[in-house]
Amino acid sequence: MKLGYIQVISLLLITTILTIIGQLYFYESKHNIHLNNASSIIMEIKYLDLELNEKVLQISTFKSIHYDDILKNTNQIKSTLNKLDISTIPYPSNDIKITIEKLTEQLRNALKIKISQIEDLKSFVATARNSSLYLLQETNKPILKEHSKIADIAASTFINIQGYQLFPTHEKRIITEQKLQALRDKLELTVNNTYYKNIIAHMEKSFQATMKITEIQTALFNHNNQQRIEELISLLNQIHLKRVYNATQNQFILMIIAFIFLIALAFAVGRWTKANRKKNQYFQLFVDAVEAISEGFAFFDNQGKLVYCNSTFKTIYYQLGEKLQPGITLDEFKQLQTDARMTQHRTDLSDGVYLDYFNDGRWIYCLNNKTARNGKALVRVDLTEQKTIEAELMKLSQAVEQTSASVVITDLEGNIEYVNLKFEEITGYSRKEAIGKNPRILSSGEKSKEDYEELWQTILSGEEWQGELHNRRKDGTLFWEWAKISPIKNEDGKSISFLAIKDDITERKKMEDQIRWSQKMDAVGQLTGGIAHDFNNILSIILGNLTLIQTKSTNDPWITKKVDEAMKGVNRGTNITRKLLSFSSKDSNDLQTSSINNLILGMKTLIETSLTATIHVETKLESNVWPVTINKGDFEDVILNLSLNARDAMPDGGKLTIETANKHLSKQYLDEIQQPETDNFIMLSVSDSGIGMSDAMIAKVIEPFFTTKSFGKGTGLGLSQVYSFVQRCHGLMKIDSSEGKGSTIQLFFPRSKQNITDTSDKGALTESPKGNETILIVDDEEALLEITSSYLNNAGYKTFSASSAKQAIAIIKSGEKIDLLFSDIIMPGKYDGIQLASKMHKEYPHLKIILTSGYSMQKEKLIASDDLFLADLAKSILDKPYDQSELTQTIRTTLDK
Amino acid sequence: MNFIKLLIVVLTLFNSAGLSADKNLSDEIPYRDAPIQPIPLSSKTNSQKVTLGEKLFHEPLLSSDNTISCASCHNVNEYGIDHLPTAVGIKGQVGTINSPTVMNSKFNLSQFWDGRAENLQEQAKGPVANPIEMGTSWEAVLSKLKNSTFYPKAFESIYSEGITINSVTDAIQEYEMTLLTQNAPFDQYLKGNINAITEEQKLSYKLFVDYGCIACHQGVNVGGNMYHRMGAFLDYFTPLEGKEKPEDLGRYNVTKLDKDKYFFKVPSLRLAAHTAPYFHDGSIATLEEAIQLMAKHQLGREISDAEIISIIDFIKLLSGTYEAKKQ
Repeated sequence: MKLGYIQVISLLLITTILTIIGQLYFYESKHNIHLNNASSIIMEIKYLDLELNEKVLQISTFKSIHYDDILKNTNQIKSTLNKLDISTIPYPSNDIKITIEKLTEQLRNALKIKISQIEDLKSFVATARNSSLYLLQETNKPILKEHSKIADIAASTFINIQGYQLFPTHEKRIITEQKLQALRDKLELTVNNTYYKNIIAHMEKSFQATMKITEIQTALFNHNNQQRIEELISLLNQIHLKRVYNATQNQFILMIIAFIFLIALAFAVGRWTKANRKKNQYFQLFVDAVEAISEGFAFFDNQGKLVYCNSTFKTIYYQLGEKLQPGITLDEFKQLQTDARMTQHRTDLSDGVYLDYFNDGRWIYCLNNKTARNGKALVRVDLTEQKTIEAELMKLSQAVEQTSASVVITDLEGNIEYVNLKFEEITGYSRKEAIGKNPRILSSGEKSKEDYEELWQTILSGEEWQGELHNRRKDGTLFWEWAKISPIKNEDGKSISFLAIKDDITERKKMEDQIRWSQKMDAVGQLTGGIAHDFNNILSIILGNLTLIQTKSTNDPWITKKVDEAMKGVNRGTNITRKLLSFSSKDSNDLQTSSINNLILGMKTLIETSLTATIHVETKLESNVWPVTINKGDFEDVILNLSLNARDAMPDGGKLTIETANKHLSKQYLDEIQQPETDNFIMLSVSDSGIGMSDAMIAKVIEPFFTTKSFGKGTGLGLSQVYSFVQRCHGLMKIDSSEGKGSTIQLFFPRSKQNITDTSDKGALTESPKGNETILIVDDEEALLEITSSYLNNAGYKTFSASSAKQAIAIIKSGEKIDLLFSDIIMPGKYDGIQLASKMHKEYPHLKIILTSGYSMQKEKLIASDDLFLADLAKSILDKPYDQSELTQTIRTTLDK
Repeated sequence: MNFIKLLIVVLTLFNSAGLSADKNLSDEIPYRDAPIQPIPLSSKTNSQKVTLGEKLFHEPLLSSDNTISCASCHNVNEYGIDHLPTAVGIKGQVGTINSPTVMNSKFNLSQFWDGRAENLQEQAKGPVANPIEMGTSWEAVLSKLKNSTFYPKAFESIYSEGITINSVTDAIQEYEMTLLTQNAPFDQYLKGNINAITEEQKLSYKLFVDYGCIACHQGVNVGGNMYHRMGAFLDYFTPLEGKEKPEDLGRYNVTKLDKDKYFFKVPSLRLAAHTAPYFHDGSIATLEEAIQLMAKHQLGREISDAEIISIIDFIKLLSGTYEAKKQ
């Protein structure tokens, strides 16, 4: 590691510095101590030697003195010399060493000699002193005075000896010697006396000792140790100075080395501190980063020991508590988990990646990665929330998948990202096919470019678009959808994709079409009813007047012929208006239970004659056809209409097939026609091999007044009349046609529960019944009022006429006896016919009332009324136009009730 | 400046106070220049070493047959001698030299009659290996001491090196340093007690000085601090008569210099009154005879019997008492 390296370097540097300094210091100090010791010993010797010299002078006198001091001195010199060890002196050079050794050896020897000489001196001094003392004592004795001459010589000799003792010069010594010899000679010649001999002996001893003393003193002075000692001291000082100089030099070098080392050390420490700081900083950054992340994170070093784990990690493993501490090993960590029995289930996802399900219901995603330095990084992600959301989303997605609506999600460009099952079911496109495509694949092309633009603008502006779409399936068929397209917004309110929820409304659309059509038919019916009413009034006037002319002038055959022709025309007009009225009416009157086979066979001749010779008519009739309850006349009209249409469709001839069959209709059809009672139907099919119809045409053929025929050739009421009839019968009409392939119209009629009551025609008109009662006729149409009065007057009745309800009420209240009130329903003014009837019935309950109308809707209204009187009244309404016979019969029947 | 002056004054006063304290020492010598000096009443010794040294001094293990100790010849209770002319060693062997007293021996300039030992420690080494005296070797002695129960521990507590020739002789020397005869009457007189000696004795002292005895017998030990020729004035030995023995050559035996022939260490007179027989060979039985011979051979004088007695009187004044220090 870098830090370790730097630390080691620092330590080495410090150790080296300390070692060098210590080594140098101890080396220096040791040698300095030796040098200083030697120096101080030499110095001590110097002073002891000086002292010794002094003592030598002291003992050299004849003073009575003890030798303890000088002995002490010599002993000190001896012991000091013993302490002197010059071998340990740090010699700068061998020359100096040799010199010093030589000098020291010389000094030792010199001092040894000196001490020995001093010892000699001590004894000589003692001898000289004692002899001199003896001589002093003896020379004063009287014995010497006997020999004055000898005494003189002796005294002179003694004085010479003393002089020599004081001034030991060579001359004095010679003189003293001569004196002594002279004295000896004198004594030998003259006196043989032991006393004198003794004196001479003492003189000789004293003189000899003095000479010895002088000799020793000279030797001592000549061998001056001080010079030698000074030399030694000077040499030692030299060494010392040299050492000081070297030490200074060394110190300087040492300082430089220490300085360099210190710089290196400072640098190393700096680096180390920086690195350490950086390390700490990095570690802090690492800790901050790891603490900041929402995942649990733990790091084990290459020893497998936990270095750090963040608080999220601890939270995830909160069951481990305080045991989860830095320093524990990976194995211990695993063991702790096992001990805590945390994991209920583990799913291995890949190497080092697994998903733990904990006992407390948490999902933890675990990732164990090896780091670059052989450590291990553990990442833990708490997926509990995601798992919950996932489950919720799963539910939602299942709901979306299984919903009855088709769901499409696109991106902002409109590319499909998701479609549900219903979508696949409805459109026929599989999910695989749809995803990535634009929903335009469904477009039928009916919607304009502008419409689509509007759609896009709506959803792009963030709003919801609703509307119908006519789309095309994969197989090409069309279907209707009610679509709600809205943007899906993120938290910022920004659109991220679009969601389309669509309901298949094809069936509803059909229903709506039917409702719309029936509403239209109602309107048309009301309109045609209104027209028919007016037409009936007109035709009634014409018919009335023609009848009157007929009765008046029967003589002129031309008039009779023309009136008859006019009568025929009126009858045709009456037929048309009746058809119009029957179309607009949902109710069928005159119902009979019949076999349609019979009716078809009855009309076959008529049909064949009506069609051109190039058209071949074929009938395929069910042998045991079920009975139906229908209006025979209307049915005949239907056959005729369909045949005529077929003829028109086959201008170049062809084949017309009329077919009957018993059929069981499916529930779908039954629901459509709201016929819950039975599924048994009788089918009438009329097919041609003509030009056929387009789809668009098919959609319109049942509309009234729609016609493909040239102007004047058709009323355009044919198929709509047929459709109206089938509806009245609670049946079903199907048109199957394509251009160039002919058309087939299928009509289904419910099977009747009654048996066939088929009767022949009503028979011819009977005689008009007659009466004499008073009848009040109310009609706003003056001409019709007049004709009706004529009819009734012809039949014997007394009549009053009123052109309005007000007038009628006035007549009745005038007191005239009125037996029957015959009133038109639709009249201008305050009261219409029904209101008039109601009012009069309340005031005059016995007054008989008949209403008349050219508009069948009025009748239906009344029948549905709660008023029993009005409901009853409705049954006897006389439809316009009526002839005299119909009028008188209805009047008579009512009056006779 | 005033402060410095004050400081100097204070220091001066302090210094003089210290000097005056010195003057009160009991060892103060009023006659500092007197040729004889009193034996000091105190000395610096290591009591542990002294105890050990005393035991060693009396230790027969130092001899080959474990019969002879230092004390055999230097009985401290008998003025440090054996009262024999010459020493008697192991197996009754008789030596050639008179055992000088061990008392006050530390004041001598050297040890042995011929001064062959520079100091007491050196001296102590001698008799062990002397075949007549202790007749053994130091190796044997040390081994015996090491095997004893007492010495190893005793040495260990004092000497880091343990039992060696050096440590053994050092301990003995230390003990011998304490063998002093103090408070002699003449010492008391020297210290100012003028009544310590009689007027007659003062005259004896004068006689001792005037005769010149003082020339050699001076100092603390009244001798012992110099060498001199036996027969300084008149030859003592007569080699031509064949009487000369090797030990008579004295210091010559050490230096091998002719000038040192018959030179001996001047013996101390401190206990001379009690340490007969005299001279290096113990050949002189009485002090009177010794004084007489000294006057004749050393001083070249005739001395009267009365004067000899007077001098003996004086010599007696030199003997102090030895008190073994109770450690």
